[in-house]
Parts: sequence; C-alpha cells; structure tokens
Amino acid sequence: MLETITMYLEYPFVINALIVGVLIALCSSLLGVTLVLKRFSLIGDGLAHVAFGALCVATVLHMANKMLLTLPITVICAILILRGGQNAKIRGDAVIAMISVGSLAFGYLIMNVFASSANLSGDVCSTLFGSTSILTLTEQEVWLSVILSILMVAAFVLFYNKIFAVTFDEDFARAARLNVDFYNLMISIVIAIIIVLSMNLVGSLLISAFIIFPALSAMKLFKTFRAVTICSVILSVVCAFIGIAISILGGTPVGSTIVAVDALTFGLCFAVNKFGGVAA
Amino acid sequence: MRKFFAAMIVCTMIMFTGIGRAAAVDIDLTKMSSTMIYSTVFNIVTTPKNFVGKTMRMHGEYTIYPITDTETIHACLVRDAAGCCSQGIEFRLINGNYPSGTCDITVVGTLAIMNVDGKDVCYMINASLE
Repeated sequence: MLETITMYLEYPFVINALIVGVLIALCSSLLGVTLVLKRFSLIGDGLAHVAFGALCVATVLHMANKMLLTLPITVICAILILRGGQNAKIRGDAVIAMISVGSLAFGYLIMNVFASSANLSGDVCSTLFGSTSILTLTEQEVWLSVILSILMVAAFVLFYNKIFAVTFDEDFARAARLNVDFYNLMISIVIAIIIVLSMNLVGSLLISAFIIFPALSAMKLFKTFRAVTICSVILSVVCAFIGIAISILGGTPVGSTIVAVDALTFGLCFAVNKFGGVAA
Repeated sequence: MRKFFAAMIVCTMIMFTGIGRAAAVDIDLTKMSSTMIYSTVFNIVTTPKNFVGKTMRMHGEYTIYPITDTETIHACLVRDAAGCCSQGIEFRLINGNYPSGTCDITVVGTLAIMNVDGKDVCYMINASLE
C-alpha cells in the first residue's frame, strides 16, 4: 500500500489534484455555512447547471482554458438569480429553476449539434460527475484555482463580520447601515467562483452535496457560527483528501467518492449529535 | 522438510531478485488503479514532452484505426473509472506481429513523440506484447 502511494505521488498531476482538491474543499466549506443558513442551498445547484452550459459552449469553441468563459457567465447568472429573487414578478426559486434547467438543456443541445468530439457521452458524463477531471488539470487551471482560492479566503476573512451579520439578520444589518444588497451580491459572486472551481473536483451534478454536507455535519456538532465554520472547513478538507486518496487507490470516480465520504461523515456527526450532544 | 525449506529459499530468492518478474519499466500501468491508469494516459496524451524516453507497460483493448489503404494505427485503449471516457496510445511492435482482431493486450515500449499537423503526438516505439 505504502509503495503504491509513494509511486502515485511521483506523478505531478496527483500532487496538483490533492492541492486543488483541498483548496476547493476549503473555499466551498467557508461559504457552505452561510448558504445553508440563508436557505441559498439550491443556488449552488442552479449555478452548477449554468456552469455546465457555459462549459459546453467553451468546448464547442475549442477554448484551451474553458474556465475563462465558464467563470464570467456563471458570475453574471449568479447576479441575475439574485436580482430575480428580489423581483416580485418572478420568485427566487422559479428563477433558479428557469436558469439552471435552461442552461443544462442548451448546453447539452449545443454539445450535440456542434460537438467535434467522437466521445460526446464521455465528455458530458465527465463534466456532470467529475470522474477524473481533477487528475487531468492543466498547469494553467491549477494556478487559476490556487489564485482564486487565495482571493476567496482573503475575502471571507476580510468581510467575516459583515457576512456574519447579513447571514443571520438582514434587517439588523440594514439597521446597522450595512449595504446588504452589496454583500448579498458579493456572496453570490463568490458562490459562482466556488461552483466553477468545484466542477473540476466533483462535477456539476454533485456540487451542492460538496458545499452543503460539511456545513450540515458541522452544525450537528457545534452551535456558534465561528465554531461551525471552522469545523466545516476541517471536515470538508479531510473528506476531500480522503475521497481523492480512496479514488486514486481504489479506482473509483473521484467526485462521487468525495461526496460519499462527505455523506458518511454527516451520518457520523448525526450519530454523535444524537447520542453525545452538541458542543457550545 | 528439506524440500520444503529449499522451495521456500528459491521462492524468497525469486521474490527479492526479481527473477520471473516482468522487466522493470518507468511507468507500469498494470500496477495502477483504473482512475490512475486513465489519468496517466490522459496526461501522456496531452503533455507528451514530459514523458518522452520513458518505458511503459499498459494493459488495455487492442484497437485498429485504418488511416489510408496501406497505413494503419495500432493502439491500446484504456477507460476511466466511470467507464464513459477512453484514451489510447499508438504502439509500433518491433516484430510487426500485431493481433488479428480486437482483444485485450499488455504492451511494453518506449514513449516517443511524432509531429502530426503541427501537433505533438505520443506513441510507443520498440514495443512488444506480453
């Protein structure tokens, strides 16, 4: 076993996968708690479908770095979804459903009509379930992921108090003269970045689980926002690392293995909460 | 009892000296998991310059791609863990005795690059079937 691990670690793409995987897990879990508390869990799912549609367009255009197109389109849709949520004529959940399903349909349609790849179902399957995407990253994608992850963590640390206020009580935040709309917009943009980064790790269909499970697991163990966020980060990073290691050693698809480890961890935390109580 | 110990000593020698083992190679895909096999082949195909000169052993499906009436590509295909994606590497046997039809093969060779339409393409030279 140790010999096999040592042999695998000699390959740079394995090291890259572990670095990017851990960074994405860290970023997604940071905002996972905010998303769950603000009942924005489904935005992740909707934006993942948007990112899939954008990725299909980038594939058809033969773009070397698909993230350059996927990222701005997903960010724009995140803003549209947020504004749609504020519009009384179209409710937030309807906007999410409309944009996500539309993007999914148009993406697959474009891939089918204009695709040059001989293995269309393979490309779609890989994008939806992230079977080995994290192990096939280019050097550019690795650096882009590292830079975006650093920016994300810096933004979260810098605006921690504001995010905390906006997450729990928007009315109180408004009374305290915080620009709630701006911070909601910032949260949406950051979510969009996380979604695009996470697509490489778990695929677009499994992103929601990757963002929400660590937060829910942490909420079963702790009560305060800070403790839940820290625990969520630790659980997410550990689960991502274990998931990638299992998939590399056992030959299982990376995305679903990570989500399975996340789900098992949630089961464990649920049991601890049920029989051991919750820490303050 | 003596025969048992003699057999044990011979087995131990075989294990530690490598007698009876397949020849050592730089990249042995036959010892890797399906996720690693697919990822390694994908990286070889996309960044061939990083792997030039390395010896490799791979097990996969033998496939033939006719290019012209006289020219044919002989490749070994591997699939990813989900079974939906596949990657292949062309190989050129030293003896030229290619299998007659599609079948599972284990091929050993040295990775090299050729330029096709301005693009680097990886393939295996001095290959042999095991």
